[in-house]
Amino acid sequence: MRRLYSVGMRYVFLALIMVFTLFPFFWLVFNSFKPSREIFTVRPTLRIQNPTLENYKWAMGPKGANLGRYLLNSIFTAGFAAIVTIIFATTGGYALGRFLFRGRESIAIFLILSQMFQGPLIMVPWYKMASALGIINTRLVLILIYGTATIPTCTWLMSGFYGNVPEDLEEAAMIDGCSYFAAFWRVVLPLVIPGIVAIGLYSFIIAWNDYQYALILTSSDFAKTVQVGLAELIGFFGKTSWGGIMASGVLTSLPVVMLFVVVQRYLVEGLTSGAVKG
Amino acid sequence: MRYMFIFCLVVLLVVLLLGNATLAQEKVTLRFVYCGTSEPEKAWSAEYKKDFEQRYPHIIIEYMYIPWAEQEKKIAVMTQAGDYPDLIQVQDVTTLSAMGVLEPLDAYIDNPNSRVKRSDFYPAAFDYSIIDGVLYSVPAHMTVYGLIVNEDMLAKTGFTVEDLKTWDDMLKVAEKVTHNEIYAYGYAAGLPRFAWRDAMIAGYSNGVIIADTTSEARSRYVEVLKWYETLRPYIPPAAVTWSYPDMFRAFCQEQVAMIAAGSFFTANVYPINPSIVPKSRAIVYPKGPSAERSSAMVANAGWAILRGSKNKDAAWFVIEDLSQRDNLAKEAAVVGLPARSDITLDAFAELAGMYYPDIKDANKRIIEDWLSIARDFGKPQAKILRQGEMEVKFQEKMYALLTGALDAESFYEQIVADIEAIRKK
Amino acid sequence: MSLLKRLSHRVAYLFLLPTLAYLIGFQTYPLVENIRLSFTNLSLIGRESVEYVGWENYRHFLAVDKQFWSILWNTVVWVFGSVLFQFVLGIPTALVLNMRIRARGLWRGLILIPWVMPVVVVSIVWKWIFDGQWGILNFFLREFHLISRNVIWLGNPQTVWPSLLLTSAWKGFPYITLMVLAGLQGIEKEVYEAAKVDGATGFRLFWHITLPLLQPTIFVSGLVAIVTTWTKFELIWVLTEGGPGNTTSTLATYIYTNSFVFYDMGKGAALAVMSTLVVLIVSLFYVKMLRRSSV
Repeated sequence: MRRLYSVGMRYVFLALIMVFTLFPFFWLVFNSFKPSREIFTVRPTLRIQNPTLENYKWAMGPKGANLGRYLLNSIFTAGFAAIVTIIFATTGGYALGRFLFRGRESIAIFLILSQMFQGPLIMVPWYKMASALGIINTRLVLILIYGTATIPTCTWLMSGFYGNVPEDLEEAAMIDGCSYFAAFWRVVLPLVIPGIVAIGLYSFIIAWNDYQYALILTSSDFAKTVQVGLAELIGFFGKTSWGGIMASGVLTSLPVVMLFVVVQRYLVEGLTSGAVKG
Repeated sequence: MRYMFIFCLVVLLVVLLLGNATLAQEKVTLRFVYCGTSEPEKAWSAEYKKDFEQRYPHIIIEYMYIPWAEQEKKIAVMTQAGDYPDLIQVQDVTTLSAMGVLEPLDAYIDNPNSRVKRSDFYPAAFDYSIIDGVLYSVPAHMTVYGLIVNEDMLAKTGFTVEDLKTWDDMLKVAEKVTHNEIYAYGYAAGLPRFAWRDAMIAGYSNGVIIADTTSEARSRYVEVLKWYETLRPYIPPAAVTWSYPDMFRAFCQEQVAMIAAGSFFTANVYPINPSIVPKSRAIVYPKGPSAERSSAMVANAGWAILRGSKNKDAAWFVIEDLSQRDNLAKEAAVVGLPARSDITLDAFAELAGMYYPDIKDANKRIIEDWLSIARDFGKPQAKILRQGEMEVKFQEKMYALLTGALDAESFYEQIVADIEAIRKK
Repeated sequence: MSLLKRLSHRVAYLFLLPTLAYLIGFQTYPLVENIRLSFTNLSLIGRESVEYVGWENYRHFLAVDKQFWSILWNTVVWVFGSVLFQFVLGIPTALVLNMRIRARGLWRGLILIPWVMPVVVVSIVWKWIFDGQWGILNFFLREFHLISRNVIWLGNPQTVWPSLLLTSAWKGFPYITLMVLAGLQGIEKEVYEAAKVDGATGFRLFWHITLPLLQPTIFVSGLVAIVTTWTKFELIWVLTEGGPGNTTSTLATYIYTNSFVFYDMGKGAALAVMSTLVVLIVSLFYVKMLRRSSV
């Protein structure tokens, strides 16, 4: 009886959380199936008089949001930002999490500091640097600037994850004849996979959600991201396709969520498969 | 021998450089910052590019689409970093010209060979491009500001648009219209830009510019602020959070009967509720107590050349082409009113009708309204340096006024102090 | 002395090198340039020459500008409020998503939606929810007779902060959920079994066993959330632009306004430096706490 009750409670709670989390998204999806002129009503209703797929056609078509292109750019940029972050944060984090060495404190502070310097003021210097390097208006410059925002934090995060790995493991491996790097690669890294997935996701999302940097540093269709593409759709003088924007919002959110449904296994099951338990 | 060698090298260099220069003249790529990022504007721009490059294969147009809201910021960063595009679409040139990034265009337009003349344009619209006697842009479409009225809602309370001649008339209507969470006057007071603009429009109807801090302007200015105080019960309380899209939405849902806005009205309401256009009329903002006659703010959006551009002549060539009657009419039809005075109403309404097929006649009527407002009451919109900063101060006080925390007199004292402090910078 | 400690220095530097090179390469110039700017009067509008003005910009905010301190306070409310709400939502969500439930993977994926929804549509939907004239929230509250008159959620100093924090929590809690979910995997089943044998159940199990074991995760993700919220301003910007008045201006929006609305780059830079210093102090304090607790 008690067990049934607690199982019931967990579904009640799940439902509450999901309603709160998904209502705004539901509202977006729901309205994206309405013709534009039906969307804005005084009283919200749950009826659609003339359901339509027009908005989705518009969102995917070249006439409207040109979403496919921007979506690819966004996934590419955010994906690479995540990879770059993982590379730099797993190594840097290892040093910080594993060793006591001179300058550790000040490096830790430098990390936080460089993380802080984000936002409007670094745009002009970044624009200059990117112009000088000839990478303005490319996806590369976005990947690099996102790296500066994510690597410091993620190095921190990783150092925490390494802290959970017992030291004897590396020592044992090294006594068995592994080089230091081999021990890191074969023994330690597999144990922090959940950490890697966590920072990968984090940096993916930071890059994915950015608007300001992409706006300033890119302007062609070859580099523009979804966030910028969507913001452009709201016209000042020209007609704004509200329904189209909503459909675009749905179409940009879903692929990432699906991606995660696949990835979450690794995040959550990574540790259990590690040697630590064995 | 050695001198010979150096001489040859120099000659070679010169030839190469000259060759390059002539080559460059043969094929020029112009970077064009274009702010019309909505679907129909982008479609027009792509069409124009195709057409232009067919006619003039030696000039290639490369658009950089940047939404209006971000235009100044992006240009500020680019030019600070020394990167200058060639052409740019602009509205208010005050900030950009104060940044020193715009090329004065007087020499170009006054050149006897110029294919575009000052006299081609509506004077009020053209004047908006001039700052301290220097021309910074060539207008393409004109924006006229006035009061947009829902005739149906007025009729229900026994009024017509003709009844709206003074602020007092507006008040009479407002009292009747406002009931049961329906309000008379929509106001996008949530954003500094729009909070300020509404008051500018009202100010023009009372003969005062709300950046004017001189003592002669005082009583008129205070009247404008008092006017908002009077209107307060007839403005939706939610208006203090609104931006333009929210205000237009309220108008489309017939929750407000009057809004002060510009000739971009049709484009903004059409996607929300096209059937509102046949019910809507645009009139000059009714006259305030101290003005002999109301006046309407006129602005424009047009084209400018960046000072650091390396292809200014080619850029001007494009501007000339854009300003040709047919090209200009097509562009203006996408978004509003033409800035050239030699385009007939019928021809223009026909073009605009392509974008609003189901409300063609209603749209024509409202175009006619706007053009007559511009003709009879039009005055160039004041160009105010550091307006962005004043807007922030103004909105913060307008919020206080609309929530009853501040009265018009103290509002005036405070805003005058703020504006003067901003001017001193 | 352990093997690791003996080898430590050289190897540690080797591992750290790429990261440091990256950050020094790409962050030093912007950082130095920012600090330099903060001592100048660079304004993009209407000033011909740029001069060094010493501490003038800093003095302006600390001594002259009346709004600075309230904005600093707003920032604290914004950052800690957001992070707190994110945890209040995120931890229970993670606990539920860690239980045996149907279609768990799907729910874990869907929970991410707020995190990935583009800001443009987030602002459209949430403004619609909060609007004082046709807002969905008011509509529901009135349907259920919880309120009799519309509340102007974003236009009232009493409700604007809770509304913003709710939105911010909604947008940010998936990250906390993920981190806690990952942290929960690290807790070994035996610990629970042992506690259950001792008779601990439900909330007490959570309070005495789970939460202490989650502490490292919570500290680390808390720091990340603080730092991220501190520098992000898009959400506030699209919902209120810092209004009504300056009620919801934070340092991040104020930096933005100073540099890109007023074009006072010098002042904006000074603000950015001060903002960094404050968050640096907060972070260091935080790290100290973290260290003390983990010893």
